[in-house]
Amino acid sequence: MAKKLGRREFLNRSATIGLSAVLGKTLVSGLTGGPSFAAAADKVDIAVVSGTDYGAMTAKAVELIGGIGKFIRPNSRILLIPNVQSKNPGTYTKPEIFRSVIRMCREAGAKEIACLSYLTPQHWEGAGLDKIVREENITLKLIPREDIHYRPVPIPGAGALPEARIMTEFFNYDAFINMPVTKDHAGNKFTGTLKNLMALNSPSLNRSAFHKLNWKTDPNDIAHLDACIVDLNLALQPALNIVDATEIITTNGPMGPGDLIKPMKVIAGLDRVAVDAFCAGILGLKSEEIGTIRLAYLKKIGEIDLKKLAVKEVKV
Amino acid sequence: MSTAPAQSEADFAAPKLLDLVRFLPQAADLTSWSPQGTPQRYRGEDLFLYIDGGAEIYHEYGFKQVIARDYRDRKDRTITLEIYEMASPESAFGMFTFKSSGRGSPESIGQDARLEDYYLNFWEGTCLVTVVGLDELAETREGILQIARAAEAKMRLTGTRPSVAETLPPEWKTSSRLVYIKGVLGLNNIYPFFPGDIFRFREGIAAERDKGKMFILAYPSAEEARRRFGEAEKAFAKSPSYTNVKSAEPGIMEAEDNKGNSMTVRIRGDRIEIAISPLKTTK
Repeated sequence: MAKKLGRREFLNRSATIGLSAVLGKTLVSGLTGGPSFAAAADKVDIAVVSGTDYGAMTAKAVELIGGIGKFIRPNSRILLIPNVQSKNPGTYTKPEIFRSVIRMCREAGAKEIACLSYLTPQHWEGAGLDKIVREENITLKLIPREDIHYRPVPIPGAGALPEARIMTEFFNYDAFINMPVTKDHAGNKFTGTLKNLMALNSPSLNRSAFHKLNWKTDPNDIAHLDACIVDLNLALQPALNIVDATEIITTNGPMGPGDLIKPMKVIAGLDRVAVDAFCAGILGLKSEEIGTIRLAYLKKIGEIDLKKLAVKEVKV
Repeated sequence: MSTAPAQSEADFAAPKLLDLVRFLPQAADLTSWSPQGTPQRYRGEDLFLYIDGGAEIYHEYGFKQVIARDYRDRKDRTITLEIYEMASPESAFGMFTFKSSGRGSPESIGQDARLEDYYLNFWEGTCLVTVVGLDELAETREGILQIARAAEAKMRLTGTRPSVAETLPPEWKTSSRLVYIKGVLGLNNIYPFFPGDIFRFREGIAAERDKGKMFILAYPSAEEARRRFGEAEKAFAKSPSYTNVKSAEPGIMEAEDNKGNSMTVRIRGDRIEIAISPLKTTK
């Protein structure tokens, strides 16, 4: 069992993480009052790029929200968190998007680029991302599932998940970029930036705490799952979110196979709630009816009302 | 380094589990396609190692084990075969209906089969079989059918459909999509009535036709159905998602949702029936 850290010790260690791998109240202060959403004329909160060249679309989306240099610092160690659910179409982050982000990070002067995952080599191979890892010469660290490899992280203000358990290796990096594919989910109907952060949390905790013990019969199980996902997002703040909405399943998620739609879009933004709210619309869902999005908004993690944001859509 | 957990042959030879390896087509059973690598097998709660964050729906229906194997052709195209052993034929039928869309074409494989754009599902006895290609090419679709038929030829299982499927009104029996449901996850995937499990049914059937939906939810007794109907009445009245909630007469309730639908909820013996249809708009 991993050793629990005291609050003071935890904050001391967290402070060394820096920039955006944010854990602990002192470092999430930028979020506690909610981001400022006043849309300046030249400011883009959400960039949406359509096209067929996924790599170029990704680069354009990042450029529209200010360029990668706005989100990561030179000489920083960067984690990328793509989705490698399965090889079924519309269930994983596209290799071209992954490669594009790696190259942007490198051009911005990243000292190290890596991925951490508790999933198997077969997952990475199936999604085609292991090939990109090799070709782009970045690091993929497969983290064992045992709790000893995860560090307890208290979550101040949590409603359902008082403590996360984040991969210990995570604390060796300066920032992370959240790179989900948005798609259907059989439990809570939608997955995007907020849910993707479960990829950094202990898989045993994802099983034992995110679902109620008697989840098959507990009427509040899904609401509890949503609350845990949102609490986890109180503890972790991505430097940037880049979402694959090129080819996505709208049924039988998260693994599929299911009905496939091809919106052919890449979405980038800092605000997870806003990005997920936009993506919910792509799936034909109302953002206020998605538990994670609604609750994350209420917890002031981000803005649910897209009318209050600058959303820029272009084609490449 | 994390890999699928090592599982001994003895683990999978436990009584009451089918030997799924026997159902996997071999190279000699196929033309153009050959098995690749070692089959992956997961049992019980370990399903979440295979389906990260999405195994719950299988457990809601009743899951026992799965075996998955890849097949490749000379052009290096890949098809994955998955054979899920479920807790009962009803569970296998249920997952088959849940995973099938209303648009696929029926095929004569197993007890029911549907071929979609790039995948096929069929069920037979306690097994649900899913065969997935990574593209929609004609050769891949032909390969999907070939692999599915080769698996079916080795299975020879039988099972009966749940009787609740027969309780739909005649006009709904020819619906484009019928889904047998066993719990709130299945129900909410078709129509998210409430975030929680208000209806607490034992089993049910959902039918979709045009833009309308019909649900039959079954209970152990008429008394239980009445109790759940009462709970549902209160939940509809409290929920901001519904308006014009009214009891037309004892045992019948009407409401409108925020998606432009009207719905009628009624008790019929040990069942609750819910009909949803688009509101008629006047120009």
